[in-house]
Amino acid sequence: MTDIKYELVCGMEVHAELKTASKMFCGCKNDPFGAEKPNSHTCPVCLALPGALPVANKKAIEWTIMLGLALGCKINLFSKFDRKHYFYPDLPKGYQISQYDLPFCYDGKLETSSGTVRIHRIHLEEDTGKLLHKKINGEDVSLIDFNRGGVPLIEIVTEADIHSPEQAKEYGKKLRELLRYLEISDCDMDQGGMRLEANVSLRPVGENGLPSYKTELKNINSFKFMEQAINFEMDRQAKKLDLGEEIQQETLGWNTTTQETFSQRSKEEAEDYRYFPDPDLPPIRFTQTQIDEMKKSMPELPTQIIERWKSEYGIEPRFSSMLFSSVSNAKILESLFSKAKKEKISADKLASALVNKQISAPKIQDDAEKTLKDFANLNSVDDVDTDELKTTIEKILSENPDVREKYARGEKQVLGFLMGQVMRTSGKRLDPVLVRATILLSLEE
Amino acid sequence: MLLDKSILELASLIKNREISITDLVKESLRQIEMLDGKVNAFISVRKSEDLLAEALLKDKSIEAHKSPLYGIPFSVKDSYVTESMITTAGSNILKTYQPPYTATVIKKLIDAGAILLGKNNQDSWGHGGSNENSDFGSVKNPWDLERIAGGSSGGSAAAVSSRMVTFSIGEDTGGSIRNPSALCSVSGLKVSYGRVSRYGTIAYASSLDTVGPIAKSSEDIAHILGVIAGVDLKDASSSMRPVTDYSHSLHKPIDGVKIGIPKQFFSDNYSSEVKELVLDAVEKFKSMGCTTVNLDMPLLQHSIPIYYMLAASETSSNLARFDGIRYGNDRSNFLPESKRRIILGTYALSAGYADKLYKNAQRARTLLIESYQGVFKKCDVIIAPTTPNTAQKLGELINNPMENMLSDVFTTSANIVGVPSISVPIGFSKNELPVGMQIIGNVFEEADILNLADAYQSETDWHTKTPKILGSEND
Amino acid sequence: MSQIVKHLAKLAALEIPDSEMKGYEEQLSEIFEYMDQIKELDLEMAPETYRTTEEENVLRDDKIEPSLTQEQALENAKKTHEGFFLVPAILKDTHAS
Repeated sequence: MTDIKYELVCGMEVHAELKTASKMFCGCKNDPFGAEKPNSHTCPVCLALPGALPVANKKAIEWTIMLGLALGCKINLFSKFDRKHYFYPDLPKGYQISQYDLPFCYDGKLETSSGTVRIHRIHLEEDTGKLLHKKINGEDVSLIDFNRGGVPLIEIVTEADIHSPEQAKEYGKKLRELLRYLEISDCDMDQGGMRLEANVSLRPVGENGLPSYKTELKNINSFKFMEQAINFEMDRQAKKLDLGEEIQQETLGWNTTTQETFSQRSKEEAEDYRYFPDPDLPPIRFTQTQIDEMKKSMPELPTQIIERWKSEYGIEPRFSSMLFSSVSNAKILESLFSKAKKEKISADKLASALVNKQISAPKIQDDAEKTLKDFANLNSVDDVDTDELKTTIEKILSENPDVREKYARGEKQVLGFLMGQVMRTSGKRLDPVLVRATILLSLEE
Repeated sequence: MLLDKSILELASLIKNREISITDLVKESLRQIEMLDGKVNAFISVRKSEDLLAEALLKDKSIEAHKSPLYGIPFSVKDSYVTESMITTAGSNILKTYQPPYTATVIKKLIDAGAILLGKNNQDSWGHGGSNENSDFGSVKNPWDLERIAGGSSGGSAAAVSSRMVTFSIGEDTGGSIRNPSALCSVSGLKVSYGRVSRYGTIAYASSLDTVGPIAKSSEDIAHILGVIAGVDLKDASSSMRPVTDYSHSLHKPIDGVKIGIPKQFFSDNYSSEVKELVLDAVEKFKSMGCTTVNLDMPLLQHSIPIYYMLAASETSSNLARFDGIRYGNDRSNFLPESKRRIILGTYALSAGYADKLYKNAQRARTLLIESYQGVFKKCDVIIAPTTPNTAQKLGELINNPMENMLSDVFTTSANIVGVPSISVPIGFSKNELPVGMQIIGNVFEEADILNLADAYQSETDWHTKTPKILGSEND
Repeated sequence: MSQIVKHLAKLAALEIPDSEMKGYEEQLSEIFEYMDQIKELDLEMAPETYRTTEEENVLRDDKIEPSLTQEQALENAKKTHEGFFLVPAILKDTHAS
């Protein structure tokens, strides 16, 4: 036994199905899991019937660029699709339309708590059909459903920057969060909407450079299993390296029962995919201006929102980060907090109440009023004599004669001013909703 | 004989009710019945009951339809999918295959009112220049039944040549429309790449395949092209350029047209008879006011390997879908010629070889395109022979794969570069076999080459000659 | 040569019976040799052209179009089972995506 300590050198490849309405190269419905029956969302193109031709889905490409921009990638201004050839029953054309040397995005990064993970490339391709293994009349057969064939698949490949199983898990989770946030993929791992692969090798601590070998962990459909598999592999490889044994390049799966990796295919003979540019599909060309426009019109990213909510609304990041998971619900919360700010309600306290589930978040923008009301009811308020309140209000109105006029003209911001005055003058803790309602009454009179 | 008349003549006769569409379809069926047993131009013919019913229906609404193709009988190479009609691409792999959709080119012709008689025999998958590489028997040349009809659209050319239909839609990847047209003494157009939709065309080589008409004259072709040309949203490789009014671009004066003569196509390494006839045709053009320009295009000598590296690579890819799982029979049903091309293509693309083979072919392609662009600055069109020889006897080429490949020497460069080329009949050899020549134009200049071909056909009558098997039908 | 042909046939999922192998080798040898001339061309490192059309960015809107019915999808298959295409068992997950 030697005392050599090894360090994990790991890169990950993640595939995610994009949730466009239609498939990547044809107009069939993109809903493999929800289809009523097998082979019911297929057409000459995705069934690879003789004579059919692909036409690329614009939205899938736009979403790929958006993901790339969100991960700080450079965008290839000129890009194309290539054919990747191999024979397998779930691949109807005998080739997959993918991208070889000019992927849409490259050179990005994703931050984890233990360091930056560089994104090598992001490209777009089509998914294969689904294979089911069964015994029919005593015979082992495979059944094929092409509802999934042709669904747009985005592939994100990292550099070998991952140095612990925990970091691999964190990377995977953060990537999933981002894909869900941008609302381009549901990443449902049980349904195969997101698939993880990890390349695992070890090198002695202190050394640099990539090890001369790697094993590929494939077909792992949970973060927990991924973590376990990497841990197991690290042990297995370390033992072999200690004994001076060579580690075979191979593809490994994770057996959840035996809690061991197992060989799926030897990588000694690399597949010859015979890539060439697909002549059926014209190339894609962007101008730098177009990319800049796309960048501008991108939704704000989570980190930016969290920062801004702190400076604008005073909301603690630990609350913000738990409150939204998509562009859509971030928008709804934005309008809630903006409203709260106008009505001098503490957004931070509101956020805390939401996080602690004391009140429920609005599902649509119009529900904001209700949420604010619920929040108001949470806080105990001093009993207030409504007559006294009314008197206070009348007093303030008479001291500020132009307010009525302004309100009549439609300048609603005077409400905020009045509320501030009332709160200050009264010196009590007042229910803002009540105050506002009473002010309105007075103004209408 | 009705089927010896031009499209315009037929359209006029139909409009004036001097003939009925039923008459026309009956004659077509009669011709097929009488001659196809010998010629073997068809793999499948629609049921006569259906055809006559269709003709009857069309006879009832002649006034409502404007297209000159209304009621005109046509056929298509069996590479074009037809819904619910067996489509084989000439191969046993698809012997019982019934597509659930129809090719765009056929849809357009049917919308214009033309009547589809049946599917023509071909070299399987487009692999061949003699139509002997078919699982449905060889096509025989109507001019000499012991000789080849050319390929791969041999059935299409033979059907037009023996007056079974007014026109046929063939498919040209390396000469497959022009070659059989020349050998069967009919006119055939290879369009600019992308001019006609490929949706529903069983692919041979995706960057080379073109869809085009074979008919008795350039004028007929102009009418057909007007109907089938144009962009198709289902075919991302189809051109968005507007469609010219081809038939109205005919009968324009041709004096002053500069004709390029590439010396590489006029050497001594092929039939001198063919060469002489082409040079005669050039003289004819000169007498009509054209001038000639001598060209030197060295890359033309390498068109065959450039073509085959590209075509074989793409076909090895396009035929990968035939695994017998979703349709068709398994891959052991490929004929040897197709297996050879698939292996050649796999070789050209494989790791370690792709750079020197496939990629070199794509580099050569760039240079060939530049060469053509340079040439079209000096001349308006290029004239070349279509085939190096007249029709060989059956059995000669199919047993000599190398010789078979070399018969594409004059036609392949137009596909590599994407330019249009029409083959027209220019006479006969001493043993009475047809000879054709190509008029090659710049991209999307179909109107110009159709015009020149039409001018030639106004001054000559080679294209009106009919094979002896038509016998007493020839009136 | 026979090793090369066997390897290529395997890549192309083609079976060449041993009895025919010699014939294929001979013909392919001649063809490969002829085609090899392309290796010698002076191509001035010209860029590759893989298509002759001028269009770029030919894309579809993300709209759903009608699909074939399940019957249509299956009608030409030799072997189906309850709406699926059927093949002899494939070793589980032996292929990369």
